[in-house]
Amino acid sequence: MDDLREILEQDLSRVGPAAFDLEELTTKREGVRRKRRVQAGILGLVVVTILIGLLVTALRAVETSEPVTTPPPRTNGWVVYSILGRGFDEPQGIYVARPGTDPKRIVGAAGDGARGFCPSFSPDGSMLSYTEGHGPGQPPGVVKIVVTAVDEFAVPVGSAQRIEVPSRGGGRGLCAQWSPDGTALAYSDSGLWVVPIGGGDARRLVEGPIHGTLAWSPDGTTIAGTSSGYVVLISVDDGEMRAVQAGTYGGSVSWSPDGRAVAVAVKDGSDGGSDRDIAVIDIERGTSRVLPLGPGVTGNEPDWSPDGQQIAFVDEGSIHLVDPDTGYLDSLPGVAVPDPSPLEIHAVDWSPDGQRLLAFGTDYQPELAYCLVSIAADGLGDPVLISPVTIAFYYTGPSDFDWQGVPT
Amino acid sequence: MPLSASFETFFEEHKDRLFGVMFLMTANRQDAEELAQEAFLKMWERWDSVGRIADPGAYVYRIALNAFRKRVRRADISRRLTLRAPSSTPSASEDSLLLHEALRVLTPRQRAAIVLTELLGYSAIEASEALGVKPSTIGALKYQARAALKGGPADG
Repeated sequence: MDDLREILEQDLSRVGPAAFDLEELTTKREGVRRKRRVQAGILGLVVVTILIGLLVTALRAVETSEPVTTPPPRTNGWVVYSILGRGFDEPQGIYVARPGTDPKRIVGAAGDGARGFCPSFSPDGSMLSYTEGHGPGQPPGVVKIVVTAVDEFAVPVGSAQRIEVPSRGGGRGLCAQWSPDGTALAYSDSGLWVVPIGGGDARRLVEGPIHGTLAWSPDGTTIAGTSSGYVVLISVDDGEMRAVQAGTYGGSVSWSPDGRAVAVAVKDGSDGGSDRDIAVIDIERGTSRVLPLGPGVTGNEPDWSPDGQQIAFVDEGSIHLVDPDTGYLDSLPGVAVPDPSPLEIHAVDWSPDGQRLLAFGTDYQPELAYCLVSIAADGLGDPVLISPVTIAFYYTGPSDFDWQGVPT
Repeated sequence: MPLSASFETFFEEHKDRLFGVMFLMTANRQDAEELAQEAFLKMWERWDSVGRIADPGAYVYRIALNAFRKRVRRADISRRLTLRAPSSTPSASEDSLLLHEALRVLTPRQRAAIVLTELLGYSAIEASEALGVKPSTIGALKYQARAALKGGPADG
């Protein structure tokens, strides 16, 4: 169609030359480049702002993720335990012991009738606290928390500080817990109290019952306990209380060493509530996850290992270790001391170095009795008997023994 | 940055015709200038590499046609969005009066199809790639354009 091409060529010639020249194009090019630079600057600013934001967020995450107080490494010192069984063959009192030595009674004397329980070493192992119950010559309704320095043999030295606590019921449940820095004790008695070591008035953080074993967070800012079936976190500064988990039965609450989580036994809903699982509660988020312990395994008295890698708990008399991250479950062999029949373990406590477990259990042969044994956490080696095997432990509970940590 | 002598030569060699071709396709001087300048600017930015290819002229037309295609597409979308608006009587712009009377009645696509194939010598496949349509559509557009030039329908 030459006519069409001809028309187009004619029109093309009629349009004439372009009105823009290279100078205009250069100006426009500079404008485009300037615009790009501005856009690049804005983009760079946005990117830098985002990166700074991410960096700040990451730094905050790192700040919050790192434990505020990293517990120093400790070696294993003396084991302290209380015997409460009045009238049994073993005199009641508080004893210290270690493998290879005979137990030594450090509180109480023959015939004095004093009742000491809930012994606990300070985090650096230099002090001991225990509760002194009613005894002959003591006014009813008052118990005392005793704080005393101990020597290298864990024997009290010097004068003791006695903190009087008006208490109903003889104060059996009054077990004070050391703050991580060793400057205060917390106890529960018609509320949660904190009392400074060395003198000063006790301060009530909350009113109302706080049950279970109190547990200080590793940074010392929070105390965990249980109340009305909830795990509660109480601020040491202002007593603000936060409930984070329902379905607990009031047992031990154990902090992870990094302070990010607590482990607690919770009621298993599958069988109407008689069974128990172990829940790990994220403190910051307030969320919890139940560790898959497997069919038929019940979680009781969880205790987080010093390195944070495992949670020890007891089930039907046996000791189990569960990895809190993966849920991997490991079961320790039966504790066959002092005779071949295995003990029925009721509670465990990690040694300060995280290599062993202090276990309290029942021996049924040849007759009912109780004892404390030290077990390697890897299940290897023979268990070591720490205490005598005696019925006098009849009233003893998980708060009645503790392992002294000695800073390395 | 000093001007590249070869780009300057290239620019002077192609600017009027590229502008003219764009005018034939858009029937609007301002649109034609914008399209041509946009093509030259992009060409300039890439001149170090593009300036060495065998036929940089074809390349600058390709850039301009891509820009034209985008404008037509945007215009199509805009037209569809305003489909329910009251239609106004089309009036020939001052620019379009420069075109042959027969070309004024064509749609941009129809004009582009005959400009590419008749004026620039594109094959149907090349024209279809440039306009982003099927090769068969180029045939249809050319048929419609010819029919319009002969006084027939110019739907498209």
